Amino acid sequence: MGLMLGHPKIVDAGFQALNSGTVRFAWSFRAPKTGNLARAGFRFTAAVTPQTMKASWQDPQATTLRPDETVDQFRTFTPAVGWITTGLITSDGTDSGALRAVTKGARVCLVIEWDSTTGSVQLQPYGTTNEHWKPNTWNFTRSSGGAWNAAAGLATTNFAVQYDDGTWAYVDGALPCSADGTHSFNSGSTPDEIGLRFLAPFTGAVLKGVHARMDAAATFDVKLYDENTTLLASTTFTSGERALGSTAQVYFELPEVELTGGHVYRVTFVPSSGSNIGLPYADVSANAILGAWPGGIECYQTHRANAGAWTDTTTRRPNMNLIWSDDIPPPTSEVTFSPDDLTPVGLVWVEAFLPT
Amino acid sequence: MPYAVLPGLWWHGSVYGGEPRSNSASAQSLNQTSRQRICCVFKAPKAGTISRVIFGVSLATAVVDVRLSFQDLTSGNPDGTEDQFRDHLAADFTINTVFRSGILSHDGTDGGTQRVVTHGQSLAVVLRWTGSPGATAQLQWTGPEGTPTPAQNQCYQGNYNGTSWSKQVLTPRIALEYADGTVEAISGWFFPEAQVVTPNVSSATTPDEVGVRFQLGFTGKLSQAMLWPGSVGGLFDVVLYDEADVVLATFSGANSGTAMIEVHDADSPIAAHFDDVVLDKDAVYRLVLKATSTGVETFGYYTVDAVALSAFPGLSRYYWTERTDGGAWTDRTTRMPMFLLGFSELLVNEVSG
Repeated sequence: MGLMLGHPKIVDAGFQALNSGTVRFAWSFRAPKTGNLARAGFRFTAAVTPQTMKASWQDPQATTLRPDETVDQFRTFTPAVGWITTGLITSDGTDSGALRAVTKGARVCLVIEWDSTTGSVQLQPYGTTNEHWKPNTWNFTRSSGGAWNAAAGLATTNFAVQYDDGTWAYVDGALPCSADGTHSFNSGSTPDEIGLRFLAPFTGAVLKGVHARMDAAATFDVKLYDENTTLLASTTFTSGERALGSTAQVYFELPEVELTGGHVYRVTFVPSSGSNIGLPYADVSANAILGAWPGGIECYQTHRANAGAWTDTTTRRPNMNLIWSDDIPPPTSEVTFSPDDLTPVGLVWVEAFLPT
Repeated sequence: MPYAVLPGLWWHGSVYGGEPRSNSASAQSLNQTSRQRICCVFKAPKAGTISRVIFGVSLATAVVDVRLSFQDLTSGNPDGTEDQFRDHLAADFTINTVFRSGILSHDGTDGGTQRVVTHGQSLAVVLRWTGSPGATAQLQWTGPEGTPTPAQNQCYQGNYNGTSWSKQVLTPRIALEYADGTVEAISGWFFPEAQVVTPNVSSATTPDEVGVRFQLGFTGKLSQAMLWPGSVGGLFDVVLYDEADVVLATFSGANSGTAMIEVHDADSPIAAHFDDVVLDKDAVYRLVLKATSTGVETFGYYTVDAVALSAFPGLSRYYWTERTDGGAWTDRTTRMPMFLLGFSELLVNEVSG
């Protein structure tokens, strides 16, 4: 096993009802970087009575992590089914108010509540399956007149925060998605090849394999291509050589190939029969929000049919992880020597020190 | 020399698949009736000559003598021909310890011909009784029980009931020792260990600092560390030391009554945040849980064999360390801490080609 990118599993379809019974929801999280928090994003799965709601930044209580009930910055919004990106969350709730400045690692609470009139919605703040990979983001609910309670704290969270530089940053354990589903496809489908398009992070990076949570119910190939669609490596998963559950976590080892930093690569699943395999995916409402996912904005779905041209979907992430070799090419040592050590040989040594 | 930025962090350590294994009752043991033989089908992790098989023993009840063999596959099951084998006495298997077989060869002796494999070649290691097991006899290798259950491509346990084999969605934690002395895990996901141990640590215990002593094979910026299982009962620090015991970074956490801080439950990790501390390739570091009150915390490790430590990430350079009252460190190469390190950047030769 080498270095692992990100998270093994996307969010499931859990939800939290916000109505007259439970009136507030909060995420308590650590700021992923230093800067000014600008907006928040989250997903609703139902908006039965969409009264005006309020999103606010609050300090956590010192010993409980729960919101301290002091609204430091806020913004109102109208809930609707799907992804909501708030306006600027500021000291006075307007675009001209002051943003919240944070330092990397500082704990902040994002609180969702009714502004003045209680309605009825379903927030999808977390998954339904324990995942044990969200150690620093907590979910809390509060009933009317009650205390804050930890809510499904073990589950993966589904929200995102945007900084005033426009970036959406990776929050520990959060996988923001506006929708999710599963591709069921086979050799006769359109598309018949689906996978992950990504950039190699540096020259010499070696992709060891792919980890996917999928329905591996038929025979298929796992293929790695470069940006010219030259096949670099592949392995075959043979149906019947083992039994797998409907959504098993599977690790596919690939022959090791050194990649070139900054270049596009694709790793895909290619069914070889008319039997379906299933590959779950998550959507985001804009490519920039993939900045909050492991792998970042250059890591998204790619697919094609009949070995034709690729179609990239910049707002979709298939449920795939990349496993990289930990054998990182050692940096070239800097050469230091005194002028006395130099032996002039024409212009070679001079050229070596020209600015580039 | 530039740093390559790794969006969302890259992780390295001993825990993959979202959570560590937990000790639990086995349902997949070699027994008298429904599992008269068990096997692990795998793809050879590298080309070479395989000498021995290494695995943890998670269950050993009324064990009788056993044979291990390498077999080719038919439809993904062992073909029944013991190409190379080794017989072992019942006394060779002890629960919660790592078992290292004798050399498997064509005649079952050290001098016999061993198995030569190509990288990725599929074959099975089969475990069967050679003695006469009683009704309560059970022998189990570590792995295919409890959680998590991610699987590796074509690497799985099979069970033989006397008539046919059945494939399981489970991956035993087996390693292979090659003739050149190297040890390789058969799964890139699981590693050979015998038991999960979670010692209690407080400011009053001996030791009061426990953690991982490590040397990286690369230079990177440490942004986070996760230590399993993160049960905390009091105040604690997660401290990063260099080889000279200079504190490079400290992350403080606590548990105050019923309000858990920084940790969700006993299966979730303690997550320590660091401000992108540069860790140099090959330098010695220690990352430890340091109890600062009498409240009890836990940080667990897998029981391993020093011979098989190289099958883990870190290649024998990650292992347990502990000390008491700021004294000298005691390093233990038979313990693999349950941890992950999260890196935000790696030092490389070239970011873009």
